[in-house]
Amino acid sequence: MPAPTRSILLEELCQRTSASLSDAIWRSEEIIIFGSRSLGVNRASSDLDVLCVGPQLRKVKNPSIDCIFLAKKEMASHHWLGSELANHVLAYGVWVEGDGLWRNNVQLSTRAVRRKEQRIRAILRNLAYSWDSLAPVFQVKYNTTIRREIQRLLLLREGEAVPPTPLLDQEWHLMQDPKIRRTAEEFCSDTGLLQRVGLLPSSSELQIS
Amino acid sequence: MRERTQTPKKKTNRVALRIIREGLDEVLDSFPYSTWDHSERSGEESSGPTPTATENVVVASNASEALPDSIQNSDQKDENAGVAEEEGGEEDADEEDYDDDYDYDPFFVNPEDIQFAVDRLVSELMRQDSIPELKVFSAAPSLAEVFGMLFGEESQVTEQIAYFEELISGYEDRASIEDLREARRTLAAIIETLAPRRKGA
Repeated sequence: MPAPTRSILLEELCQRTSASLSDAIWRSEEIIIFGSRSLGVNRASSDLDVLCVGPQLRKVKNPSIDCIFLAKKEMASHHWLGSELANHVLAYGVWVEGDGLWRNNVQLSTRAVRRKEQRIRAILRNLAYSWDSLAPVFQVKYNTTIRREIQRLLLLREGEAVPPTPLLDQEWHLMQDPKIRRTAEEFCSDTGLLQRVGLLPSSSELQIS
Repeated sequence: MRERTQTPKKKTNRVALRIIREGLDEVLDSFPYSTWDHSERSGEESSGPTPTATENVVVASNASEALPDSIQNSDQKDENAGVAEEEGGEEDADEEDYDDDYDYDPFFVNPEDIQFAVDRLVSELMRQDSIPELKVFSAAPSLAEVFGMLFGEESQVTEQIAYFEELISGYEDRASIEDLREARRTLAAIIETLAPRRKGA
């Protein structure tokens, strides 16, 4: 699927915003569309990811749109410039409005890597506690979540921008990188949990292989 | 615009309602201490729960420089400084341990504990077969979707829980303490709405 043009993305943005949200978005100095729709690798159900830089400060998230508003001052902070999101936006974002001068100063920080590690630990800790209480659909959800987060971590550790989620999934289905399993073991010594979560092959799978 | 109904209007599903009441209490308990309102904290100075491992409550020496305007207000700074003191963090120790502020951002926390508590609640509703409509879900439903089935999509309590879920979703793997405080207040209001009414009250 070819990447959509700026005008197609603009049209998409207009279709997905209510009058009040549209007003807030268009008062922004910069409007950037990022994520799977900016590349045209989205699923039909994917939302539209939008980053707005300007006076509004809030977040709007619904099944149709995920819109983040950031203050202009924040764009110059090392927290932002080193973040996973800033690096993703730099690599995959489409500027609908504004100059994006901050782009020149983006550089992935070790903080972004540590934050991802912290999140992976938090998810695994919660999974250890909650796994048996979760309905199968939630177990599947977290199986996918933890695998994607480890993929993202591996990219961040290499200093690379994290691509939209459908590309991560595509890569996983094409090549089930053993590094993901090894990284999971780095965070969790509970082999049983990693097997239940699907990050390690189960005993029966090992016997077959 | 259609007017929102003030109270749940569908026929009461007692089993589901009981599970939701219990589950929402657990969700409330999963909030880190730093998201408690000031009034709650002042009454719990000596007996309040210890902040969880996922909290970043220590004020980094130069963290405020990089904070967004939206969260740089004196009340928050004072409160977080207070928590740091309660933990026994003296100024020198802070500087030594957190000289680089990479891991510490005093106004953000990781929301996973809360998100998991919500998912456990929805899971329990699914496991108990308490809501027939949930059987058709092949993906994990949100709590707002569950409330929509129980109380009606247009009800105020459904709208509140959708707002709550938006607040706890965070971005960049974390949520602002201000958002979580608002989420906690919203949740407390929902719990109050769903609490059993005493006869004659």
